[in-house]
Amino acid sequence: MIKVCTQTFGHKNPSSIDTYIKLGGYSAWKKIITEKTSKSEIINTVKESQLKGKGGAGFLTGLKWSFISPNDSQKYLVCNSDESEPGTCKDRDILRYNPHSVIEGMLIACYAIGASVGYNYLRGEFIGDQWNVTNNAIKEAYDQKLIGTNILESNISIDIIPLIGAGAYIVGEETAMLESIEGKRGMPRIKPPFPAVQGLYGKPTIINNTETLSSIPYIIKNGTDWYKNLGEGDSHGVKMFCMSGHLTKPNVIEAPLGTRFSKLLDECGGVLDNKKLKAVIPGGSSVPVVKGEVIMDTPMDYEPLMKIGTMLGSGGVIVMDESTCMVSVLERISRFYYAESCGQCTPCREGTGWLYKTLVKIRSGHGSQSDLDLLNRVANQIEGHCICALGDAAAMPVKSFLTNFWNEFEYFVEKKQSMII
Amino acid sequence: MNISLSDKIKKEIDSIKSKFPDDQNKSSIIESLLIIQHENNGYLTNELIESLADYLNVQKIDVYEVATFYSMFSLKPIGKNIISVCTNVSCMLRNSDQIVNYIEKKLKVKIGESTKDNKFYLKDEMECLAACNGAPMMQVNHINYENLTYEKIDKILDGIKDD
Amino acid sequence: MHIYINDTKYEVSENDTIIQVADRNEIHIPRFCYHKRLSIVASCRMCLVDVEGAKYPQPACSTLVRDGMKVNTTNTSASQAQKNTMEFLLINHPLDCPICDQAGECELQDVSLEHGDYKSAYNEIKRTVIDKDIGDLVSTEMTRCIHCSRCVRFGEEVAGIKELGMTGRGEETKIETFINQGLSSQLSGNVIDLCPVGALNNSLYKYSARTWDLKQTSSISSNDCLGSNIFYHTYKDEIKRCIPKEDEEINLSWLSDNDRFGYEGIKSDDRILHPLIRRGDNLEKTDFNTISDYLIESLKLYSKKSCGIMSAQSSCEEMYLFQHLLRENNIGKIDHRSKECDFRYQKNFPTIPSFDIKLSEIKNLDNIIIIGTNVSKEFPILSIYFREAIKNNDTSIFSFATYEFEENFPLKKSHVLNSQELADCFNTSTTETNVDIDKTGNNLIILGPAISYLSNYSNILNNISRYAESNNMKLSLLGDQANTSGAWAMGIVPHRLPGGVAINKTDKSGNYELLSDTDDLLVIYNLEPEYDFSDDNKILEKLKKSKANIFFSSYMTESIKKYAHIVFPLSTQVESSGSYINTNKKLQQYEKIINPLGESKDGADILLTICNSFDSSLTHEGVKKSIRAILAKINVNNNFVQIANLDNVKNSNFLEKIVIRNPNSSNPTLRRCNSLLNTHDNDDYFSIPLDKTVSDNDKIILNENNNKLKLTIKQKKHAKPINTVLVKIGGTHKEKIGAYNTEVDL
Ligand SMILES: Cc1cc2nc3c(=O)[nH]c(=O)nc-3n(C[C@H](O)[C@H](O)[C@H](O)COP(=O)(O)O)c2cc1C
Ligand code: SF4
Ligand code: FES
Repeated sequence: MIKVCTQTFGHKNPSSIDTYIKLGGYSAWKKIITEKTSKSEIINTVKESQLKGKGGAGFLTGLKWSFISPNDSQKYLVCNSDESEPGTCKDRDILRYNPHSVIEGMLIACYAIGASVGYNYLRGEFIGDQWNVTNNAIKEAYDQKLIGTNILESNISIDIIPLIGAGAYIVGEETAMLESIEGKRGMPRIKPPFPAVQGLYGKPTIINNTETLSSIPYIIKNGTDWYKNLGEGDSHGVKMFCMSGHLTKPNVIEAPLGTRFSKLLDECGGVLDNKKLKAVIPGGSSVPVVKGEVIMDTPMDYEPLMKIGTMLGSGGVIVMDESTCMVSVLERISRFYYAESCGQCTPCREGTGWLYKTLVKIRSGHGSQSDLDLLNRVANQIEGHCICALGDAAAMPVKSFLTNFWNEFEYFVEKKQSMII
Repeated sequence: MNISLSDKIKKEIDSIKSKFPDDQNKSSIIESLLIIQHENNGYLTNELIESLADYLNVQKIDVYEVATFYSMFSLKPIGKNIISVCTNVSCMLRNSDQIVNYIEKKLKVKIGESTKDNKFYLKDEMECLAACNGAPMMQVNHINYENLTYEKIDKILDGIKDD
Repeated sequence: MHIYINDTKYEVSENDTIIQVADRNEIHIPRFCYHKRLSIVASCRMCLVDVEGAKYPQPACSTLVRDGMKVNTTNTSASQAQKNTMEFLLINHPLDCPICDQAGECELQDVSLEHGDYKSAYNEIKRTVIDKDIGDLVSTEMTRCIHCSRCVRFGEEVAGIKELGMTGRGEETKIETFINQGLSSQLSGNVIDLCPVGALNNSLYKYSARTWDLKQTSSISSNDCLGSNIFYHTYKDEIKRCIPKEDEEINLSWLSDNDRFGYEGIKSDDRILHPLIRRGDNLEKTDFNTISDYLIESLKLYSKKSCGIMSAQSSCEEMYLFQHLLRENNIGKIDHRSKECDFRYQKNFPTIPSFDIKLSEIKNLDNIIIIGTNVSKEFPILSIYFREAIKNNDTSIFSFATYEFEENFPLKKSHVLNSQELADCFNTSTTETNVDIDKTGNNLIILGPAISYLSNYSNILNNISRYAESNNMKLSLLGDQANTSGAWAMGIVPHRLPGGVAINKTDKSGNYELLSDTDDLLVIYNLEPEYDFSDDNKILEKLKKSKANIFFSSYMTESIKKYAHIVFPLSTQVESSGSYINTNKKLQQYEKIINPLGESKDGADILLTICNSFDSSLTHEGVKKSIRAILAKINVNNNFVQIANLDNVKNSNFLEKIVIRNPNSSNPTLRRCNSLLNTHDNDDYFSIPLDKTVSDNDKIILNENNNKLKLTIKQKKHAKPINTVLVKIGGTHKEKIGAYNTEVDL
């Protein structure tokens, strides 16, 4: 299998700077600062590589960088290590096993956008392992003068600073993250203005996911063609897929974009206990669920998944076998978005609770047919009507579960019990 | 009245402050609250919130807003060792609910409660703890334990010393 | 650039939002979180409108216009979206309109009638919220809160102290204070107006009327010299509440708490309800004729040695008639400056002191030097302009004062100085080290009223004027009452007739003593000897000695009870009509809101009746005309007061006492408003320099002017100002406090 962000995985002391350097790490960064590569050249390289943001939205990274104003004002880079989308567990591995790739990626990004500071914001629950490893790695890099003032006598100064959250899924949303860094409640901001224009402390800011930034050094080192060609078929580049749920060997797999789902399933030893595949949520719990048979042959990439009515999202592939009660799963998902709504937008604050409470009612055997219509209606009233995409994230599962497994929900409200015994 | 923060904590807060621009003291609230909470047996009091507000020279309500927003802050006393079992989708599919039941029975608590001897707090964890490939999993004092079995749980929890 | 709203074309400019265009053109779009004077959060989602080309309805409050944009505010897409939001809002909102004060003017109720469905599909349990106590002024019913966050943003952005915050998360989100903390901002009442539902309520108004029964009358604030525009709401001849009347030049959409709640005092038990006359030790009820005759008699009898002191809270009409009455009877010693003691400046004082620049121009200033006023407490509305200046122009604001206080806007530097240091630091002949600003900028100096109470006021005024003039700065003078500018213009000073016409008779040296002990007749108008005079000992001594003490007063005090010979029961400002000249020289009329209590009477009516007894040509209309004519003739270019050959009256080593009046008790009605006094920080204290000690712990004995003064209030110590004892006091305090500014021994 190919290894980009996972290059150091499996090596001895994977997180140490020595391991990273031995594998060619920091060579891209050193080259840039000695040659004083032009910013636009770096941005173009990233643009041409077709690298898409791995945080969920899949926005072209190079394009995002090019939005930052070229003037000399204070700018910031933020690495989004808040990884909280249910079903997603890739950034934590990068942070644990390949932290220097994130640091190098952040350095290159800071340089390219003209930021003097890059913050890496880790979710609060990472305060154990990942936080320590990140802090250590940053210290190592400072010790080797790869970060800081006058880096390797180049007159370039960039600080990389680790930050920690305190438990809030919504802070993964980029503008909520900025609010959180400013020491406030993580409530998303209205856009525009976009962060690239007015971000952290009102200054132009670029926010990228951990996996996105971790890919940067490899792209700079090996070139755009190399990266593009890693994809399969029409796809470009790679992605880490977090394979979880009913699998024989759940795993995080870095694979070419465009790899068929069936192949990923095989890599994980197939469905647990050889049961039949029922459904898959391919991009973290907020994207629409699809039936197993529909996704089986689909190349795992943004467009093909769109075609079958779902999304690649964060790459959190949740696999469900035939024994899964879809009503229970939806109830669980709804509880999450209900608990995690930041509370500012009316439809999300009030609607997520309504969805969850209705699902609890259904699952406790007190639901009726009209509750199913209500779920659909409320989901539609939330979707597209909020400041951030959490509202959509709460609505899409409801709609897709109902669409794909209507009979199962109908059975539940009629018989007051699950179709699955 | 204000209880003042210990010199050690103040020093730590000062180093947190150094991560941010000079005029952005609010930015230090979250991390400062985490260390203050850690020092205070895992929970925050109004007095501590006030002390931090004074030390950072920010408004008290600003700190309070933050303390009530993030789920890792507790405003009431909790047991010494925090157990968070992930019950989100991926873990649920791998029977995390049974894991919770088992721990509830073992510790004689309901989820969201602390044990009588105050040794354990079984947090009602809403979040996915980002270890989906190791489901079912839990965090005990922020250390991950994955692919849980009842035996494993016994070993982990029984292994926690009284002090 | 133009857009279409509901198929009609409207001119727009680049930075307009849809809602701004709609509001300008009176197209109604429902909204909760949007307020034109607050930042935009677009979180309530009530203002969703259909924008051609957009997949989902867009929030009108935050969506910027694009050339040619087609907006529809009423089609199915828009109205369905609005209806949906209503449905969500009502999920957790109690349907308790019948007992809610907001009913009838509730934006939620309005919108719900217009857009909502009558029946909700929501059958789950509603959220309830436990209320915290946030003080005597604003009562809460937070279960009704719809989380629009207007109140929170108001605190952060306008009032400058964030007291209400948003806590919790998701459905548990709440608006509350930290612990049970009362609101302390002097602008706190504004959240009542801002709250679109009945979550934040007016405590004084609570449950006392239904909004649809109220009658609305406009008026002018009587509590500070800004002259905020207000509406009183009455029911059955009773004031139920007071709300701001929008005024782009003064109070914008806001009101200070004093203005909003300040009428509470009119119901005090102290109100004087009848004409009174002394019989032995007692004051007894009588009629107006009897005491009017008594007054006219006394004027004749004691015309040589008489003194008329009038509050600058009085209307221009009262002032005009008051000075007319006295001057016609050859009484020249007329004044409004009861708290002052240094009058050497008076000849050079502007005919009408003013703020000099428009409040709306404050935002363009580069530097502001504020001397002797705690703006956020004394002039809360002004503080809003200062915050705007800082935001708009990064304006640097410096403060110089005689005691330490907090402001709701950041100060570049604050200096705490005694009276001598204050005079010195603006002395242009010595090197000034204290004021370090860029002199080329657009700069303003503001002199607060408390400075005028100092015994070296003239020196300070002189030095500051010279400093301001030589550095090309403007000077603003803030009056201590609603009509201080009017008092100067109407000739309530001994040396000038109305319009500033100088009277040559008065002492050329400028030595003038308001409270000389030779006076036989004292006419005291709307001032309370205990609280409103520069030295309570002195005025009480005088009252004891003089032959006739005539009071015009709304409230009874100990000293009036003891020394008055006759008392005219004055109606309060809300029970009278008249006009004030505000600090921007603007003449503003106010009408009677409710009928006077008891037999109390509008002062202008009382005075006119008395005047008519010797000059029947005077009429209310005539007086009003004269006032306008006088004002029209006044022409003042600046406020500089430069005085030649002024001695320094102080020596720097003595210990001086400075009295600080609590801003929530600056006039007779205010000092009787219990809710205001309870809610705001009205700490009475006595503070001595760090290096001094007093023996007894709960009593302090001060020696001043051969008097011993005993104080039993809280004791504090301060580092600055040096050589100064501070006495901060307010309300209707019981103890004597002696001179406002004088030399003392501990
Ligand atoms: C509710 C919500 C939660 C999100 N959580 C995360 C997250 O945990 N990690 C992440 O990288 N991006 C998350 N995102 C996406 C970010 O807003 C943002 O698009 C991303 O960090 C950009 O980085 P990328 O361009 O490198 O993908 C979230 C978005 C939403 C709406
Ligand atoms: S959609 Fe929900 S989470 Fe997102 S900003 Fe609105 S209330 Fe907050
Ligand atoms: S008024 Fe526009 S979203 Fe609230």
